[in-house]
Amino acid sequence: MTPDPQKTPAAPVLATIATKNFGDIVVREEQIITFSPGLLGFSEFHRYVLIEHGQESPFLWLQSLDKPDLAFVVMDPIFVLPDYQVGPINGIQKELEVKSLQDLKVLVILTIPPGRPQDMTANLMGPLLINLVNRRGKQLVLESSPYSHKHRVLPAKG
Amino acid sequence: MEIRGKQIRIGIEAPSDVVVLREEIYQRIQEENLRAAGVRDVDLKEIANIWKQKKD
Repeated sequence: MTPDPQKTPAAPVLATIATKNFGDIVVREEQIITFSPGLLGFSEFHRYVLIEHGQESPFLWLQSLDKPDLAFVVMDPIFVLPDYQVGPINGIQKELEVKSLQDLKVLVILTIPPGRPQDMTANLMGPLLINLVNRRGKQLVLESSPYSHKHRVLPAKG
Repeated sequence: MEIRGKQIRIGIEAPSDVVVLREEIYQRIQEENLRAAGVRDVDLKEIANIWKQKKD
């Protein structure tokens, strides 16, 4: 790619996005994660930011920048299943241009049934892989895996 | 390939059971994404509280 002389690399590009859950948020270009194609069912929305929920909380928001009312709650699968493995990822490693596995972040999407937060589930079959260096991401579909798309995160109340 | 009005059909040869299974899995993930996208701020507050209690 030829560098654009009009662009000053030192100045971060700012964008203000009006979100449903957070009101207006200011996003710097280097915070934007691009999913191409987008998540399954949301293929037209590509740009997201990760927002921490709180210091003590393992949950993160994956907020769309293209659709203000589109957001997911995600978390590191280590909190759900400590030995979770996405399996062979040579293809996606190449696609996302991952040079070191340390640069690769794996997150899973949570589904919280309205009014029944205790019954939340994690989609271990469709993890999100993000290259933290170039901030390119992709939702992987584990076609032949032992994992469920509705894995209980917390034990059922009994 | 046949074209009917606005519909275009393209024939692909593949073992049909394999294709069906793949499609079903993709469909499942897509539906789960749609369900997950309905999350509200209050839901996250609640699960964060539950999580904190679990740890304490």
